[in-house]
Amino acid sequence: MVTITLNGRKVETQPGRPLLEVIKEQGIAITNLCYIDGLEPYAGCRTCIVEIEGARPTPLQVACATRVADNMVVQTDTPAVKRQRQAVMSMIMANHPDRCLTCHRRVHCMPGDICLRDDVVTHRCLTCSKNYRCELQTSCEMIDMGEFEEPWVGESRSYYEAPPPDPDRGNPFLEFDPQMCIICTRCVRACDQLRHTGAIALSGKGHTTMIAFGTGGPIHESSCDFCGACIDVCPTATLMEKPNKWVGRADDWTNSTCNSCAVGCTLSYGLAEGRPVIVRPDRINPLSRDQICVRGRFGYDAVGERERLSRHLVRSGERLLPASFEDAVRRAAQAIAAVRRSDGPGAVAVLGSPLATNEEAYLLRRLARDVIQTPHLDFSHGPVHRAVTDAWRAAFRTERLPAELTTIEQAQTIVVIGGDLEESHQIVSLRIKDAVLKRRARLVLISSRWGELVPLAKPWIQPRPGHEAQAAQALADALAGGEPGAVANVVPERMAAAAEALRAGRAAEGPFAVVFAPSAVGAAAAGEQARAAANLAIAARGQAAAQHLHYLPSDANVHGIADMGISPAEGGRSFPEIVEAARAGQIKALVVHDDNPLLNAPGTAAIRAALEAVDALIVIDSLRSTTADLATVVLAELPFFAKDGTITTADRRILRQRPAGRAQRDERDGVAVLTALANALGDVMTYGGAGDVMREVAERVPGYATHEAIAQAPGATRALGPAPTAADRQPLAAAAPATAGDGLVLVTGRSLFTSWDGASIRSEEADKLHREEAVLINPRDASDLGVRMGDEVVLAAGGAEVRAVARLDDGVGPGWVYLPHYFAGGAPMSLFALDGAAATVRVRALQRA
Amino acid sequence: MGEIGDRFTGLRERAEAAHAAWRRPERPRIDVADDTSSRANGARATRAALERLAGERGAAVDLGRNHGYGMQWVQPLVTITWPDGASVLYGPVRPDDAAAILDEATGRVGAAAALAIGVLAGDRPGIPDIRDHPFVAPEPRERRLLRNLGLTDPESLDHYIATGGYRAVARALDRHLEPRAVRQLLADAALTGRGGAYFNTGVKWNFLAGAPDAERYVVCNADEGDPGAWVNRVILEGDPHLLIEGLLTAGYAMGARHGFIYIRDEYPLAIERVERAIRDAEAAGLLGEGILGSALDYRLEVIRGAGAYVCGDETGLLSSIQDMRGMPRIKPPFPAVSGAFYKPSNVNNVETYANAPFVLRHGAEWYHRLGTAEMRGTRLFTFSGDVERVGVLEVPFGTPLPALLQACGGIADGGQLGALQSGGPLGSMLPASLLPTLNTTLTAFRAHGGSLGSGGMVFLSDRACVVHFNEFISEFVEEESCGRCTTCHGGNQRMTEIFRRVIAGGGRREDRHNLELIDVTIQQSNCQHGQLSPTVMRNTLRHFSAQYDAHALGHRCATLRCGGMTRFVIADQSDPALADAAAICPVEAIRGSAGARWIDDEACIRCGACEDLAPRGVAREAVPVAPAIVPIS
Repeated sequence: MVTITLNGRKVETQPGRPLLEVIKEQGIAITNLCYIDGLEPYAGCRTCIVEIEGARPTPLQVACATRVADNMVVQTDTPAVKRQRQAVMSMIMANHPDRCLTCHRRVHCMPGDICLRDDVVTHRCLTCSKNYRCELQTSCEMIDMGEFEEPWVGESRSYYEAPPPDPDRGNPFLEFDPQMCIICTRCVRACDQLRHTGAIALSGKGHTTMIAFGTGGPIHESSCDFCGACIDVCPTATLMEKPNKWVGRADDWTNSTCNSCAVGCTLSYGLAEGRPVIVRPDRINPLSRDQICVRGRFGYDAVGERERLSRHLVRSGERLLPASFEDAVRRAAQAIAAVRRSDGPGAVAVLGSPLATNEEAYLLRRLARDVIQTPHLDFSHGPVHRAVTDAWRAAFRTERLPAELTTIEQAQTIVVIGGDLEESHQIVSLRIKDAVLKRRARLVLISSRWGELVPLAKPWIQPRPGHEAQAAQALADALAGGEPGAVANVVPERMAAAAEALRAGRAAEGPFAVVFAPSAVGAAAAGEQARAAANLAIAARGQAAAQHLHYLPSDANVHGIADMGISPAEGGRSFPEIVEAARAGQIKALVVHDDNPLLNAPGTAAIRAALEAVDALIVIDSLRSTTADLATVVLAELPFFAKDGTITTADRRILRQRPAGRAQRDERDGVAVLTALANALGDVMTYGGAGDVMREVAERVPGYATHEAIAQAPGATRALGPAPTAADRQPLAAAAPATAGDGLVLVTGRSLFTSWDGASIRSEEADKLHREEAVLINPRDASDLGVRMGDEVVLAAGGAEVRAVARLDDGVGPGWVYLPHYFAGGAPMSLFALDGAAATVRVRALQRA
Repeated sequence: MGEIGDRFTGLRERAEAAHAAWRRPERPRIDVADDTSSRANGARATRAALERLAGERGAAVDLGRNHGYGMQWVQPLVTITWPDGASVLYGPVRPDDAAAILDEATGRVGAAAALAIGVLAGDRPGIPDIRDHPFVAPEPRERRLLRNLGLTDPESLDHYIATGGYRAVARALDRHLEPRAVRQLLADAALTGRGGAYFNTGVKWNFLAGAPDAERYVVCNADEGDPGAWVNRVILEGDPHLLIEGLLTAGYAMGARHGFIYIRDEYPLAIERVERAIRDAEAAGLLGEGILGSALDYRLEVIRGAGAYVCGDETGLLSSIQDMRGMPRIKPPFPAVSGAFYKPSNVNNVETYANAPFVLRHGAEWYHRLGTAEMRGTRLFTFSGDVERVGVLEVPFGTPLPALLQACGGIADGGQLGALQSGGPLGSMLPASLLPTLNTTLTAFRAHGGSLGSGGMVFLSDRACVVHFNEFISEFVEEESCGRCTTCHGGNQRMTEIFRRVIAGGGRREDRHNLELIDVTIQQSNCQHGQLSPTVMRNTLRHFSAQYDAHALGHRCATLRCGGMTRFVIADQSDPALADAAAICPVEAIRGSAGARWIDDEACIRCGACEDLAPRGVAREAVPVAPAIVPIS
């Protein structure tokens, strides 16, 4: 530790740190427009000037590029410092529409006022979308730019002589207005060093210096993923969210948790007039910290307010008509009670959803088990999740793996078994990239299709779909001794290279991360893969295997709702069995909470038949989903961002969701809906809200805690069960299951840009970029089939057909095709059987491009 | 002598035989100077004419190639070498002169006497020794770095070895001379960095030698971008093996196994010659693995710059080498800690490395024979601007500037010296009145706020406008800013804008204050490009205060160069060239008919094309200023 004197005060700190960070830590306001905490200083804006005693050639030095040394004497607020900062700032301002920033009477001005200095509209902050939330503006105030005479006033500045460069408004997420740019390059470095995307670069030199996306074209033609890390760091209005750009100044902020995948990134919702208008990362989740992905940032805006349910609906013949909450609940309760009376509680089944909060799931379980008293309780992805947790229980005697995702960043060896994590669980993918690029971790990737992790993988093992478990098991065998066995579509050299890497990783200290992200379709395959993943972790880390095995469920709160008991009770039916029973007339009433089986589960035809067959279909949702269209009663619920409660993330962190937004009309909080429904069925629930429910959960479900307790250690409360007591290798089937039929194997997966909300209502704009609306076919298969790039093709299997545009892509191997799960409202699900077994599809060209 | 020495002796013997045969050819040989400057001045046309004529006549001559002697105002240069070993330099040799040169070469003595400049070697009655030419008067009798100019084929490894090349390195390897001793020798010789900082090279090499990482690089800065400076190009094109031997010495002295030569892409011939020299040296076992059979491995790689001036800054260059945007880095860490590819590196300029073999060959004492106690040795300067003789000279440090101006034949067309611009756009501008006090040392220049620079000396006549020149320089510096520091790219924009307005006749009283504010603020920039960019402006405000005030306050340009304060008028209606002038005017501002022409001042864009064509008919005059503003101070 060294001691420096900062504005006359002694401060102890680590030597060699950037002085700027120490100054900021001490709570001293200092202008800095290009620094990003934790990254190497760029030292471009030169506004963090401080006075350092004895510094050469001048005592005035920039704080960001100065490293702290013992006995340094630093002044941050001398007149010389201020004067110099003002002079530097005046040069920045000369290349920015600036006049309000140096105007002494700005505070008196309203947007509509005529400017007394006769400045044109484009020069003024009052007409800027970032007014009053702009770092540049704040910085100017900090150093009293109003009192600095403007030497360049009236100069025929190069900045104003050329026509301003065109803003890029060509995509639905990110707006780029180059004329606001002060070339701090924070965005360039955030994109490159925080996200490893590198979509933004500095172009030109001298006065033509400018940031550019890709090769200087539109943003959506660059490699940009629209995560918005650049927006977070931009000190001006150059890079901003397109949605609500002009209303984005929040009156209030609410921290919450994203529910678009199991990572559970913590977010802050900015609210204006009671609705969310902007999202920023919130650092509570230690995995996501200051990063989120496009779904987290723009998910609240995935569908418009008008597309959300604001009133409850009751069926009247062919139509669903609005009804009051009380009427709708009464109708729902009557319908359920009628079935119960006539066919017993066993004729009622309840479906939950991983998009629900723990509190809602707990109430739903109580509704099913205590109120309706049916054992038939499940969710669409239940079979897949149970296949995985069965494997964990068999291997480790617990289904709650203690592994923490943050350890991936320290791992020297990482094995990923899954699809494209960049699309399905982006922040985990980001931390893997961090480990590989910053700490030179070795990544072995087992995935049947290309993803952004592929270029970082050494090696990428691309087995034929359905053979992922065999690939993982072959590596586990190789770790146990001997050479890896043969895997379909993988050359032996790659397996040998992977085995070599894993052996080295096993010998090394530290975390050995096995990251497993099963597809949402195919319970049997998921179970096999889980056993292989467990075997691999056991081969690498023996008894401590469970500490190194990470399971990323396909949706946000899979862990939480399973913990709350959303699974078939003794003698209860699982999801496919519920569907079959409903078709057979044994189940006559179905309660669906926040789920859309037509989107989420394989076997669309059977599911549709079941939904149509039941006498009563009660749907609780915030959207008029394709399932809700068939409902008897739809109870309108608040959207995910307006929910109160908790979710349990992939690594079992219990994180709070706080309501960001309020009801448009009559829609209710999930807890209120479920309580009312239970009470209408004769129960007496008295929960005042999610907090009350969670108090009960904390008493009854091991590992859970009250909201108050979670608030004591935000981000650190984890729902862990008893520690693993074993590490037993699990047997695998001798060979991968043969795929039926002679067509191409269909692979699906969660895509990045397509929203669940949009897909659930089959919105044309579910994928706002229209980037994921195609089937990927290997060029060799395409040539055999006579399909060319852009042709419309038909995929047919089991009597169902799906039309899509073909994209030739060697990211999928010969013999299989990839179609995103959420394509056309989950259309690919119709090509699978109800059990989700591997499907082959026949592909034929329909229309030439 | 050990095995290494034997091996080198073998090389040398072969080389000497080849060079001797070249120096005393069996039949006369005509060498047409082949370098960028010669090519630009028509050397290839001259060579083609010579080839054609020699072929037609079946003349018993050969055609060869050398590098120009440094006299660039008389290009194209041609050297004739006769079987007796005598060589005579001729110039300027136009294609029309091919017959005279051929005649002279084939024995008609005196046929090209009018073109003769001097005897390079041997003896030729009636033609003076080249060393007696007034242009080379400031040089020592024997050139050091330039000793092979005109006397060897720059593309021949043999010629370089035969003239003593690689001998010192071979000896060092043979005798297992300690790298530390090499560095000490350089430090004793007080060889300094020729990039403009003049830091002791031996001391600098110790930094890299002491670096902890075994993987380290020697980097040569050949991104010579200062307008008016081409000293490095002369070495790269004229004696590329000298640089390679220097880099080999550096690699040996600092324990590096890899070197980069960063050459600007505007020097295609230099790139070609250096790459060829590397190939030849590798083939001869002087580069590559196990040099001359020793355990020393050393490879060189040419990296082509993409045209950014700021890549001449050592850390900008390092970024560019590793395929990153050419932006100077934040220091520390210094290159000796984190350089190319973030490995310890040493960056020196071409001329610095080129000096090392001489020190190694002849020792520090020999090196001290030239120069002053403050600055040892010689350095190359290129002289250009409004002088009679443009060219490159190698002069000892401490040479008085008046002598150099005299060598250059004074200011052309009978003008007087107005200003001396040295060190490029980041260098300095000093007035003629200081010339007697100046010599080629740092102290002499620094005393006046100037800088000696990296080799470019531009003499401006008093007919050039220093304020106008400032506008040119600040625009150049602004356009070449890398864009990192707001102080630099913003400050230079502001400076350019002010100068643009001043030369357009819109000067204001507060401009001086604002320029001084810019000067102070730009000092907050990260690299030398920013920090040095206001130097010329500062020199101007200090040494040319009256001229500046006349522009900014009086709105008058005494030299009639600044468009806003000057207009073109018809001075002599009888000049027949006025018709051409009227035709060439891009804005058709010359109105009226023959005998009654006038210039529409509103339309005129001050391009000066008419004046070039009709210097008698068109004249400049000052735009009347009313009311007159009396400059204060």
